[in-house]
Amino acid sequence: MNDESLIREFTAGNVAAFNTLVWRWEKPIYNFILRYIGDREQAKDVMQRCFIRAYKSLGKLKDHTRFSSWLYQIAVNLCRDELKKKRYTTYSLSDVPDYNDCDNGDPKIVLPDGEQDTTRLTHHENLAELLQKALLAIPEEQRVVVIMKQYHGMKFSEIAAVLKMPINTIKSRMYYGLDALHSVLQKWGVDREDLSYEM
Amino acid sequence: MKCEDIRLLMMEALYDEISAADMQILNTHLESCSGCRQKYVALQVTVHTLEKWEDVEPRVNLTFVKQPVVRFSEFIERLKSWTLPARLGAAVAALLLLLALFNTSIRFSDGGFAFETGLFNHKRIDPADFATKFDLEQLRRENYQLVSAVIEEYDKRNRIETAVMLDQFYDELERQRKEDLRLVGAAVDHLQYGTAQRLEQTDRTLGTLIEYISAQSGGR
Repeated sequence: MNDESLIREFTAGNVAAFNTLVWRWEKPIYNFILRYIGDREQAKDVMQRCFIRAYKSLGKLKDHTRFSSWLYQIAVNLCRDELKKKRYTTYSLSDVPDYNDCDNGDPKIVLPDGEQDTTRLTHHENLAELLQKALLAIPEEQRVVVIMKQYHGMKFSEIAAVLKMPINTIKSRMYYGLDALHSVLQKWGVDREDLSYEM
Repeated sequence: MKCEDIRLLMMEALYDEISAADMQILNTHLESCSGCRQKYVALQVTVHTLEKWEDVEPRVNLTFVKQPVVRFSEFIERLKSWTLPARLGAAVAALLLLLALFNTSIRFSDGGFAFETGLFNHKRIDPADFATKFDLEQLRRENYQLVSAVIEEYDKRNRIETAVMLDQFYDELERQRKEDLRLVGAAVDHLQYGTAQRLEQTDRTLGTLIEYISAQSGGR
């Protein structure tokens, strides 16, 4: 049964249909939120609020084929609210030390909490954590586009519809987002060998 | 085509959203522009890196439960299954409820609404029985005047009683003073009389003594 049928069932009074939608969408929505805000517990909380909001207002959704976009829209809004509320710490490029700062040429990194690590970061940190930090280091408007495109397989036109922006703006943000991630990973000393080692 | 426009095509190419014609344009540009070519390779590596980050399970059990809401039609269906006494009881209860609802009165007084409800007719109260705000003010003023008059009268009576008491006290003091003076006068008189008598007695004693001494000296 596809999403549209489940929505029809739900609007007819079958709550179990909504639970099926939750079961179907909780993993992508949770991962979207997690990558957006970077905190597991907060991501769970935001995901719950997202589905509660969807439950309350699904009856008002006229075009049932837009359900996934509509759900992502709710998630984006909640993530933005959460980030404003909690003022999550993001790591800017200027916080990251340059290769040239290392005396022996061996790449080092200043961890966000100030803890120094003299060995290569990728050998100690989980790749997901590393990429999460890299993602949090790029601007929010680029991050959301990168997440939607890279991890949710949304077409540029779909992302443009969710974020209510021109498609070329979305592509441009994607380009700059990927470029910024590349710079962050390079500055953190993550090269292709590191990644292949980790993987 | 400018490099800025090629960036957009790069994005389309990276995610297989590019048309064949645009792919041709992109390839042609990349062959001639080393900067864009390097950037494209770097972005491909980044995308490849990002692909390695897998989704995780949320580990949250979200289940929505329907709140039981009884619809009117369902309620009627349920009623049909009830026994006769239960139906009669429900009918009486509904009747009493309706009676109470129809017997609700709303009244506006003192800037607010007052609601009254009950099974039977309310006692109709003549509006004239209600003290208006003006009446209450008048009553409060009269009460104040009355209390003021009582206090004033009480003060006046107190002042008179105090004056009379003071007069009596002064009279008593005067009487006491006169009595004391009289006693002192009598005492002085008594003292004078005693002194005169003692002087006379002394004179007589001295006279007798002088006579005796004279008689003694004449005899020698």
